[in-house]
Amino acid sequence: MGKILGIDLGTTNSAMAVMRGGEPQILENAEGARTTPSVVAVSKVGERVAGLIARRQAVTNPKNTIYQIKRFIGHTFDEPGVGKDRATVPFETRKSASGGIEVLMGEKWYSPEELSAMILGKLKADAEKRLGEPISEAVITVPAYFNDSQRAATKDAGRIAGLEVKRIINEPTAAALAYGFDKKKNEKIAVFDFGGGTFDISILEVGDDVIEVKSTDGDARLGGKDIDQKIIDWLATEFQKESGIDVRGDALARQRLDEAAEKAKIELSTAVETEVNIPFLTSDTSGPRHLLIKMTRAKLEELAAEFIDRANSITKRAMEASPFKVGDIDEVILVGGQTRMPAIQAAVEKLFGKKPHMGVNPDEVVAVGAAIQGGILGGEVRDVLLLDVIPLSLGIETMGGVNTKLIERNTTIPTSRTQVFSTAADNQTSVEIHVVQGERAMASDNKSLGRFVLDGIPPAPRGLPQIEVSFDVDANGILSVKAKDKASGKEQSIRIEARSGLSEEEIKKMQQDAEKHASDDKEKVELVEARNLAEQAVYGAKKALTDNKGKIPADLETSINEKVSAVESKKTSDNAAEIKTTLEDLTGELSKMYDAIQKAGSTTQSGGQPPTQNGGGGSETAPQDDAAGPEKK
Amino acid sequence: MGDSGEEQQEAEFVPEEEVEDGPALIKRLREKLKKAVEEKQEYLDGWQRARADFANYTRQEAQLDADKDARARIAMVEELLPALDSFEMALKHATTEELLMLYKQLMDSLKKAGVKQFGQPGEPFDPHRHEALREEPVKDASGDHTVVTVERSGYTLGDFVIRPAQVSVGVYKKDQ
Repeated sequence: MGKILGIDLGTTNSAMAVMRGGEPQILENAEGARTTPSVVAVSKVGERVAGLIARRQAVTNPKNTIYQIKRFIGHTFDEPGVGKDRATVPFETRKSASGGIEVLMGEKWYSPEELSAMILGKLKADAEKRLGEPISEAVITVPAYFNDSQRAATKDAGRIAGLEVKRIINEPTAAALAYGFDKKKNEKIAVFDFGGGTFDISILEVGDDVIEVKSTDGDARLGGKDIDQKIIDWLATEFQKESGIDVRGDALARQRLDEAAEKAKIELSTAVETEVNIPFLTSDTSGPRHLLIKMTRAKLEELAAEFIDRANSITKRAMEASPFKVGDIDEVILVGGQTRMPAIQAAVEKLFGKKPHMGVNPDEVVAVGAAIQGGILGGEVRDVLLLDVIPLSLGIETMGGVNTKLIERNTTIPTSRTQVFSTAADNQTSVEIHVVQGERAMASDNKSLGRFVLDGIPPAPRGLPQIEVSFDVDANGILSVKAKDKASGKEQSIRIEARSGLSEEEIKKMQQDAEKHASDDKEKVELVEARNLAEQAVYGAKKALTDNKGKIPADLETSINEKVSAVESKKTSDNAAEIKTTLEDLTGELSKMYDAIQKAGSTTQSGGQPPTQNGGGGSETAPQDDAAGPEKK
Repeated sequence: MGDSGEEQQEAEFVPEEEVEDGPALIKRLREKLKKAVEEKQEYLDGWQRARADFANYTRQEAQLDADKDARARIAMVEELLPALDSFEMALKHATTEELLMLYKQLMDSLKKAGVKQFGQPGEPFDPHRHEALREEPVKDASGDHTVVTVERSGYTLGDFVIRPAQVSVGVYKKDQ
């Protein structure tokens, strides 16, 4: 069975998503965009085009470029609203034999279903190209206020496009699904959808298996485009005040203003002030004229205020029409790109008295919900298959008491991870594996889950033995830790039930603790690292001195010995910088020594590498962890 | 854990119970087997699906990785577009030698990165490459549906249109 495509078939833009690996994912169209304009056309050379390409030629082919077809689908020609919509579009419409609407495009008459099917067809083809497999089934969303005939017509559009429509679902319902709110019984949800060209508010209640729309209201001619238009007008007026030129009639200038207005609007969602900069907007007898205007968020809010107020009063109306009071609403969801505007978020928060959800991209949330519905219908979304993540990182204590994380928090389980560690001292024959859980940098600040000893490691210089530590967390969160000495093949393991009494609150607290202590933890780790480095440097230097006896000039040997003593005296200091300074001195002397040895023609550069490289080999996977803390028993 | 323990116990009891309660037991076990087979199929199905998803995903990621470089370049050019447009406008207003040299340098660098500028008056209008900003009446029938002026150049990277050329399109009307 193939994938079920989730489609948000919008008035101005459409989007699509599928479930992949149990997660919804938006699919890009052939032009590389995540949304597709809901526009179709027959170009002047007779080619049928859809989406962005159709929109690009609209100006030069207005009669054969069909947009906003969603306003006509499932209506009869004589309905009062239809006449109004017909008056605003440049393409020709007529009454069909059955009393419906027909639209003229490229000398042929089409039903709204056929035209919608062309948009769906493009989405289907682009999705197939992205996924590399055929798609024959879909879930399509419609506004909550769509009546039976509009829903049936949308379903027919799908069929014409070669898609079996498994279900038609409401746009607000899809948004609620995207947030997983279908699982909480009796929850009351408000979906505030401020799109490009339309505004919808829906009040939902989650029942036994269904999400019911309790009331819905909206304005089919209120959206982000109105705000853009206001900004363009304001910019043009400001420019006119300064230059005396009205650029509103100039198509290129308008286009540039349009882009700049949209950009300013987006920037003002995060910044409080932005600069609109359009060089060479136009020219007069005095030469080129540029537009450079500072725009503040306050100005934008002033321009948008009337639209926000309108949305506000419609929302109140919808609340009154529902059986609930404002205080009953449990969740508020924002849909539509325009809801990124802080003033709208603030207005919604004020109205409902709670922060609205906006974690899922508001342009994509409806398509995502449709994909999830498709996943449920296709049997892909099942509670059994819900994958969990580990709430806290799992690691082991390594040299100096550092917590070396093997599995980071929020990793999806089941999972496993292996890392190679080594010994901290010469001839160390056993290591202790201390398993800890938590985010803090020092092992002792985390929760200890258990410890065990791996012994029987053949004596060898520090850093040489390879001890493979494997963590495996199964689907139930049970952790198995295994340590194996690669040379002797000896191994030891431990099994830990991960939910070792940690409550949700404790987990939260541990996560917060880690954030709070992040900077002192960093200092502590730096100190430990400096101490470890110092120890390795001293070890390396002494070894090099012994190995190369007689090849090093006497004065250099004395000086190295001095530096070694200096490092040794400081290596337990609590001041990382101090340790590092003495270390640097020693490193400097050591490189002189290596030069001298090289000059003496020596080939025996055994053992001691420059200590800054953090000591000998042994661990391919984790060079900086090679001195695994497990101390000599 | 607990579950599997119970099942084991039940299985051990089978021979004893079979004697007195044969047919019913067999029926129960058959049902249980049927359910187990169904469940197995369901899990196998889910597992295969996840494996397939992962295989497809890996393939697509590899593709994306290959595209990453192109995507980064496209994003860079998109960011540069306003400045490139203004540069062109500046040249239209006053073509000084210095500006031209600078412009050429910039275009050469873009070309090296695989980015090509396009859009010339006289080309037939093609919505795959052009975006119509307005119509322009033309006196000659051959100028119908062709590019009359290029207001802003288009840019491509390979076959990908980063931005269509924004143009005015000729319209020929016989009765004029």
